[in-house]
Amino acid sequence: MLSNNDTIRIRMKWLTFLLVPLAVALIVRLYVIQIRDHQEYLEKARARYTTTRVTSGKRGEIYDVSGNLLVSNIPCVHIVADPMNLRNPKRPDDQSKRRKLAFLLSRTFEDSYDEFYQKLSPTRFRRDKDGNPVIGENGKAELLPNRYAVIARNVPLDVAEKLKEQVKVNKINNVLTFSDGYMRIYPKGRMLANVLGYTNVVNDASIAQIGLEKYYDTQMTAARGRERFERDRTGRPLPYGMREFQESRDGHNVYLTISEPIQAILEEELDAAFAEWRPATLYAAIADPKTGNILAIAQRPNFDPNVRSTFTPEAARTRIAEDGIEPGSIIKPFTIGKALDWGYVTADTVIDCDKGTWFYLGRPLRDSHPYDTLTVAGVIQKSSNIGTAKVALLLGEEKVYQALSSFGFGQKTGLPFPLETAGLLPKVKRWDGLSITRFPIGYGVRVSPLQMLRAYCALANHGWLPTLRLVDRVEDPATGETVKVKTPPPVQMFEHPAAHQTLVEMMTMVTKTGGTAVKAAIPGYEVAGKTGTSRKYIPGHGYASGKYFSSFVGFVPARDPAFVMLVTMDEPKGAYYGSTVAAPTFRAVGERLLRLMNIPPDPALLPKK
Amino acid sequence: MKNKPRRQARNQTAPIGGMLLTGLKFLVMLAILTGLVDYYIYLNQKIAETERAILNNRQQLSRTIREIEQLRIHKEQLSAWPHIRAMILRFDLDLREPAPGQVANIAVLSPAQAAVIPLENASNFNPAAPAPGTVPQTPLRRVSRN
Repeated sequence: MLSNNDTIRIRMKWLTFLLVPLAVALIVRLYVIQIRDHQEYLEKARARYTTTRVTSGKRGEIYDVSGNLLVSNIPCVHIVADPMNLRNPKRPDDQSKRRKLAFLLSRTFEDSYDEFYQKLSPTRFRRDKDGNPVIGENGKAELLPNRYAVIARNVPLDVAEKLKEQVKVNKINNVLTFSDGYMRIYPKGRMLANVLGYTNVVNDASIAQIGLEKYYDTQMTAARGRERFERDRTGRPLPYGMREFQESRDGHNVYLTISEPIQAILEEELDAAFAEWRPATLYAAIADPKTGNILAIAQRPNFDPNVRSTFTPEAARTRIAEDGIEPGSIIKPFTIGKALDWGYVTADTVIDCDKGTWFYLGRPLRDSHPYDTLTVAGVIQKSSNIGTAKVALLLGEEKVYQALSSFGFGQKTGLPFPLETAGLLPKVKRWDGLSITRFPIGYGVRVSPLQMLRAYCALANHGWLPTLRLVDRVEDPATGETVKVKTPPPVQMFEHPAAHQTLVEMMTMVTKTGGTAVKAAIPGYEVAGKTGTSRKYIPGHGYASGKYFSSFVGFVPARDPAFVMLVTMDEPKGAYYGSTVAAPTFRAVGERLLRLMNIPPDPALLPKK
Repeated sequence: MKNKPRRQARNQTAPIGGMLLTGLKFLVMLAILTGLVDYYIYLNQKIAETERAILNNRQQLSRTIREIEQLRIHKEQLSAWPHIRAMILRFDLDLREPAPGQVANIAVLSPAQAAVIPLENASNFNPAAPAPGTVPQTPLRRVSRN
């Protein structure tokens, strides 16, 4: 018979037999969880309370040369709703909150109540890839809970704040989410719009479309940042939690050579000219001949990059760089200037102008006014086609081609316009017999207004041809470090400085009494320039009747120019001579610019009272 | 022999005193430990509160920065010439652009910049005299808009 002690001992053994394996199992399990699979469980746990926030820097801004803002990013708020949170769990049919919120939104955004009421529907259709509702087995469209409805994007801060307060007062909690964002803005509206370009927003990212926005997209695009942290139940970072932080980087800022005050003057006068002459297109640009810096550049029609409805294909293009036009007489000084430089003619060489009609290879060439003879200076002053063609014949085809190509015709200016045209200056082997009489007077060649501006910079800059500049420097906003955009040094176009001086003197005669552009003259200043009127060539139809390009290009003061300006009108209405339509715009802009630049007039040149 | 019962009594009370002392020491240690833990919790709480305050301030700062950014753009819009011109026309202000010579530029130099300019240049300083009437002064033109 077993004693009490024996019974206890047996029970103890059984208990040990049961407990020891249990303890071992527990230890093994503990080992598996805490040591072997530790990392796996830790990651699972972290995934639950770790969150990642993507931060985005701001896209680079664009400024004028003095730091006036032209393109920026305006803070705004994007508002989305979770309509499921509008439901009353106790009374599913209660739509009072939905109605109240739809009313608030329609009042805030001045939009249709019905539209917002529809957006706030707690259910939405399940849709297939093509966007069509999916029909269920019961023949009805399948419904899904609606947890995400975009209410408004790019809402101004004050409007969003007001809405927030109203929502709070009306106790509509946990329905609207207000997230911070930025919207591309062009504070100066239409000013310089064709050059600046614009961006579209796709999935909250700015996608550059045209203009400088497109050309400098890589530099201006911001780098996204990433913040990973352990959060508490309200979503805030835990004080001692893990935190990884990769900072976002703002895009680089671009500083142009454009001067906003000069640009404003040009745009204002262009508006006046556009209203007066109603041309199909109007181009104008101003440059500093010494540096090649473009001070202002404008075209009509244009658009407001802040208002999408103003975008039209014709208005949105940078046509001043992309369009090639037959320049007409404004190209004459280059052939004649080179003829002077190479010694083929002097200012006093007399040219027979055949009383206004000259036949060459059986084809007539006419002057707008008949002249018997003209000196070479007179050829420029009166803008004689026949006189220029005869000077070109003295040079020969090779020299004429050399003269025109040396001033950059047929070559891109290198400005940051992706679709810039190189124009058209055919090689000599492609010239027909008439080319030598037509190219020097601006027919048969195609030139962009910017190429012409560059060539005139050489005439204004004592013969030195500069490289045009539109972008002055690029700045890293984080460090303040700026990188100057470098250009090659200017090239001298004239072998004899006297030839250049003679040419400039001849061009000053154009704006004096007896010249073709007296309307470009500015009292108190000597203006050198040239008018141009060319019939418009329409591919497939030849030269159109009654359609002209009318231009004036000039620089002032002629001896030490502060700026070079080009004004070109395509199909002006009412008049078509460059001297009538383009020269007054040059004068209007020039007068104001000289005041702005504080360039005093020469008292000797002021009209006597 | 007289002292024996007293010694016995002392021997009996000594363990009680020791136990009390040990207990007291334990309580003191416990109090210190509790105090430290309490202080640790208090500090943690303060840190959490400060973190929250920092976060709130940071959010407030971010809001203010955004408001400043908006104001900066608004200022740029208001200082643009088309807006100024519209206001001149609206209020019919008889303003005109200055003639050359009526404008003087003043550069404010830092002490370091001023120090490198020789003093005699200051006596030669002769601001350009305005030349009234040298240029026809045209008032601001009204431009028709389509």
